[in-house]
Amino acid sequence: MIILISLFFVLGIRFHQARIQGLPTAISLVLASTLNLVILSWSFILCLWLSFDFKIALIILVFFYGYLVKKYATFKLTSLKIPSTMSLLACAILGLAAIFYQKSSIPWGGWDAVAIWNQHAKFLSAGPQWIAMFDPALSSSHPDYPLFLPSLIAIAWQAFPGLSNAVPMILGLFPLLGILTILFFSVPQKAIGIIPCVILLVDKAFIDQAASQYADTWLAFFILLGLYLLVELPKNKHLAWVIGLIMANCCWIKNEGFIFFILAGATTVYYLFPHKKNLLVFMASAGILLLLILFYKIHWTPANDMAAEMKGSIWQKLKSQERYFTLFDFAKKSMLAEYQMLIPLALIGLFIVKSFPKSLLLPSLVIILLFWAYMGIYLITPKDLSWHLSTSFFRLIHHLYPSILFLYFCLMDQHKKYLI
Amino acid sequence: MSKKILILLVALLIFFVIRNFTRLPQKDIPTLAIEKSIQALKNKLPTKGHIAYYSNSYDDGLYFTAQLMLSPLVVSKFGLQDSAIFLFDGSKKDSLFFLKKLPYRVIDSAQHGDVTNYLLLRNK
Repeated sequence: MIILISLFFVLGIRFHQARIQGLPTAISLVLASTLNLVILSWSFILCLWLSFDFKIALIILVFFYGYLVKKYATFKLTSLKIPSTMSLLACAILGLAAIFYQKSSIPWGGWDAVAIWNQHAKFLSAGPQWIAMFDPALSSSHPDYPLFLPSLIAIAWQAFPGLSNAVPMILGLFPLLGILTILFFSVPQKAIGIIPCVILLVDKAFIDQAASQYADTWLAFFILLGLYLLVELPKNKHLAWVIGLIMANCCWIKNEGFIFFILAGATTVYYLFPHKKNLLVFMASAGILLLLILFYKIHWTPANDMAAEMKGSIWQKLKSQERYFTLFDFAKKSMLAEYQMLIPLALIGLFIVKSFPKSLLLPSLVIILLFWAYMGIYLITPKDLSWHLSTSFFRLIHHLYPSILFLYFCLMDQHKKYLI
Repeated sequence: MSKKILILLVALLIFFVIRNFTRLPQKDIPTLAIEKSIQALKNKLPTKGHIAYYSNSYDDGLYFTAQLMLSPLVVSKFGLQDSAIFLFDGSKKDSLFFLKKLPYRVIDSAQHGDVTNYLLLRNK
């Protein structure tokens, strides 16, 4: 199984890299690996649903990729070149991030990792009786949550039997390294790309959250990747199929991903409206995943705990001034305590930014609306507002933080003459 | 020259990352008090792998290097929703997920607040 997965990755990355043109090599490598993870996760889940042997599915996928590589890509063994100074610097940043991550990691991760993500993975790795995870007795482990992270952990546990706690630990590093790679290489001026990476590296709260092995860093990574592709879309319309898969897969990581998909998906449709063929490709790739997720939600999972508890009048909550004050007060304190870097960045931005480029306008609007949608959910939450804020606010901001840095430094890159 | 130093730095970082990952699963969790207190009892037992710890709060999962096993059967046996069982031998064979009955008996228990803990021994 290890050999099959390795072959799947080598061939899959080669094929996807050949199809993804127009992006920096490092980012296309991250994107190709991510697409492989998405395909692997869905193949595993479909095998469970259809009671099909996953090993046979892997063999089919390897042969299919082999055929695609032969048809659309080539395997050239180019001579090894010494990487550029900037690439080495990026590797050093990634290495440091891995060491900081390891320093913060504990076996089995934080509470949610223990009780939700690893827990679901144990059921998925246990074979045909995985549906026991939806037993009403286990409602406190949130059985309605999507299965992207648990499925990846379960696949690794099947490949390396013994339910080792090293698996979720190693997997949890991938989105952190992915975020840093995108931030580093997405800005044309690499000297500017280093700054957001250093900001995240020295941010202990951010590294701690990534090391907790929750699905939140995965969602932050997918939101950043989706947003990056959205910025690139006007230049690279052929990436419509990739955007569809990445954006729709956000709904397969956490339920909050649905909000991002709606906002970013609507923006993609707006961009692609004059290009009907690309629009159809986007709708088809996103549609396939969405249908599968909807099937999972309707057929398998119980109702979301918040949706099930929503009994009181939403209108009453929206009219309550106290809830607005509580929310504002908590957001202000949390921002000042954990995201202090945003204040000097905003002040620098106010002095430097003279104009807002059109290419960043809609992606920025997506992140602003996503933030307000999150705040709107707090306003109508059936849970105790203070408790809900204290247990999840920092994680929701964690989803947005890399994307905010990405948009900010793209903006700075456009005004670099004032900086350098 | 600076490129050579960078290559050396990257090589060193890769070495440390790989080395740390081989050591991480054994990393000590600062709050292992419960597990350590059970250790003395475990040492007295002839079948060390057959001991388990049950808690009706899976917050305790944060304090264990042992595996957390949460299953409908465990929940229904102890009648509480927020519950979990921890196995110390870590073998998949002993998984409590799909057993028809729980082959464990209670050998000790403790109550603090709403949390009840049981020390269990596997039947032969």
